[in-house]
Amino acid sequence: MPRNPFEWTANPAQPAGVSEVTIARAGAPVPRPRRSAARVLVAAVAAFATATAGAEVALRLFVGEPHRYADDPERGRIPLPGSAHWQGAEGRATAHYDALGLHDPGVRATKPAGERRVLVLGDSLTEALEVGDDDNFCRLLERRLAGAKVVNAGRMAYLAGEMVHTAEVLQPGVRADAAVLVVRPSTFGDDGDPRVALPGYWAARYDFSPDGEGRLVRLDGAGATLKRFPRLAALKQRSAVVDLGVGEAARRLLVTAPTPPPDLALYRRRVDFALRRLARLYGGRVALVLLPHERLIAGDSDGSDDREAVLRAAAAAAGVPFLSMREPFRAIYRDERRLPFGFDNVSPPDVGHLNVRGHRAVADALAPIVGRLLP
Amino acid sequence: MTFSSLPFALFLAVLLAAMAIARDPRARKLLLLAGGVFFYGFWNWRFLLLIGFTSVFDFALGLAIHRARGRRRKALLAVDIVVNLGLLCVFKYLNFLIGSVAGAAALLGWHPHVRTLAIVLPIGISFFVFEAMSYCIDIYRGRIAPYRNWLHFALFIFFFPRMVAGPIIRAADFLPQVRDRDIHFTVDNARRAACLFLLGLVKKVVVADRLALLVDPVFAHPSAFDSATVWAAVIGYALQIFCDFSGYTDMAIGVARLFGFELPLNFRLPYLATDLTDFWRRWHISLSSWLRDYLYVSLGGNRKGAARTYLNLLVTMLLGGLWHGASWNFVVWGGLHGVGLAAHKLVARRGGGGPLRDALGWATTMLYVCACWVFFRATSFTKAWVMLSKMAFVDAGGVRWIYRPFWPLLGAAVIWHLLRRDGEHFELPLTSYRGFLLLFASAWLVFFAAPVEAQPFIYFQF
Repeated sequence: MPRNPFEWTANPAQPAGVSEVTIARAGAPVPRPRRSAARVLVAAVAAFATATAGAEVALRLFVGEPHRYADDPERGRIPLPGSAHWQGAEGRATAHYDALGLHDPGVRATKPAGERRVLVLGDSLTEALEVGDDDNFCRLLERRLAGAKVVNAGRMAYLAGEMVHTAEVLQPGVRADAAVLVVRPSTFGDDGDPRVALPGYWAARYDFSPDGEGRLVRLDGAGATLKRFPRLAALKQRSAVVDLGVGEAARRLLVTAPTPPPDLALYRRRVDFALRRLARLYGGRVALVLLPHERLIAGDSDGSDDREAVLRAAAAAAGVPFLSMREPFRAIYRDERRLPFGFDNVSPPDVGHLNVRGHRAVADALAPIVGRLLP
Repeated sequence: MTFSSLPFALFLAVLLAAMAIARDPRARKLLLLAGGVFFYGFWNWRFLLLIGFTSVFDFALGLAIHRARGRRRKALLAVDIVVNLGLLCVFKYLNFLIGSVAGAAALLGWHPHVRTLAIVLPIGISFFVFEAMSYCIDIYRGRIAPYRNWLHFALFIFFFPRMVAGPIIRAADFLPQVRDRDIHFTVDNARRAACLFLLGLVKKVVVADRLALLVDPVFAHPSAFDSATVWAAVIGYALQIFCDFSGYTDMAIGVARLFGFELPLNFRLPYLATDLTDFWRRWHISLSSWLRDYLYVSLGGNRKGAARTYLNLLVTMLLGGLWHGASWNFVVWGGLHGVGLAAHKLVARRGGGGPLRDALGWATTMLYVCACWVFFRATSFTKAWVMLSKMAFVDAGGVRWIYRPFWPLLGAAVIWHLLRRDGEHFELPLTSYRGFLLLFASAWLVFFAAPVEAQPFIYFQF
């Protein structure tokens, strides 16, 4: 090829007539001296150990500690009572667990005279590992309700069946005067959720299928899967690489499971059952809170308007106060250009768990309702 | 079937095993061709007819052009170019042309009832059509002789590592590698292939896919975010597209190396460029050199005076922009680069140099390149304008959200560019502790840092 007279993209490092391929070949490495197979193997093993140790340190520093848990015969796998968990995968905070394995400062065994107690049931949005111990809406609500103790009984991945069962298990010890059921649109509709099929996470739960009437079912024992692999279970509690590795692999396998469309009649029967059960347990002093999960920036509804209507109607029928956070969340974005969901280490920014602003909004909206609810 | 997927790993394993079993060199070439056919057909088998047609048509035209003399030779080349560009126009640009004509008519007050066609864009068409066309042009120009073995030419067209997103290879570089030697597996090639593949995987999965989590929401709703977030997203996109495309190229070169083939370099640390001309010497080299050799030179290059040179640059870059996709935003992106190249040529005539000028040139170039990326990535001119307004701190308000992994990824990219300024080949010494350490550390990085939902390669759409 003649020397290109057009200097536009002529590469100074490319002599005339020499193609990029020739340059690539010229860069080929010189052969290295051969090493014995044993030395190579030792180098590989040592490098693997170093890389894994580095990954362990990096994960603990930037993502979080491995979850430590205990197997409760009724509630299944719960956070180890009295332990702390640091996580940075979403938000950056340390969560301290009480003697019941709840993300809560703990309740005194002897209820002081005049103390009113509220049990808040929910999932990971209520458990709130992403914000500090004092910034979740249960603690904020407690500050707004003078003389009341708000117990955070939220647990990640819980659905209605586990929430109701948890209330029944905890009530003899906690002796709450009222309960707040904090749900997402999917809380009553996800028996098809692949997490439900994870044996070991639950010990017992109310199963709503197929007719919406809850039946207490016991799965094959708390931690059953990991009990079959005791060494893996022990490693999973000690090593971030194993904990996240197993979790990551499971997530990648399960995340694509399709969610069936909601059957609203069945959905209503599930809500009715849960409210009826809780109302019986707390003498009718129950509130229902909906945390919608819509994309505020995109302006997309989360498609749960129909389920919100069902929740509202069921609450009205049961005489239970109902709070939807849909409008308060929209107002935060509209008026303050801030988001109630999300952190700067997750994407997109308006999904994920409640951030500090979101927790404050829930506490603000919930305080007058719970105030009226308490005796 | 992307390089970072499980089906590709299975496909590669089966193909390598089959080639290892095959004794006859010709059988190995046939197996590689069959692998290419399967790879392309896996995406959409119907388009095998299209790429198969290209492999037969250009092979025959190459022979005919070589035999012909005088005007017949030129006419045959014209036929080749018209047919190849015709294919590109039908599959890639027809709806765009119809829509643009209808839009222009609407501006004049005429509202014709037009219907667009439901045409699926064959993956990689922009790449294999350019390669086939350059083969015939090179024969016409007397730079190469036509190949008389169709199997060799078909391997050129169906060579799967670079089939869907380049790099664009030339027959003069590739065909001698098929003709002159046997395809066989060597440990040294495998080691070098593994290094390149791993490097590409880290670039793609760890850097590009992570940055997509910042870039996508901000470009989708730029008005919701403040200026700092928009700036982060634009810089993030500049890194994302580099790591996505150069990562794919590294993997493609690595896979080709596995079979003993050398593919051309496609990137040479483009964000170290101190001017726009330098940038195009470093960015998508196989395309920019193609445009230079087959378009810019054909238009007259810089042989017809300064004004014509600037015009040629502008036309070349406009068409280069259009090559990326049937959309006006790519045309604008190309046009802006054409204007920038012409402006640099004008300024460069005044001479001068020195570190201060280099630093100023680097900053100006990066600013200009990033501003151009806004048009490349934005889905509408309205959004592009909002992005640019935010970047200029006009209407700077909005949600402040700078995705935290952005900072370490930006830092890593800067360090990578500074460490590899000499452009030497990346290689892991997979017999030493250091080499294995990098290998395993990269593997952990890919496993833990990969987002749950993998992003498609950006250049697959072109």
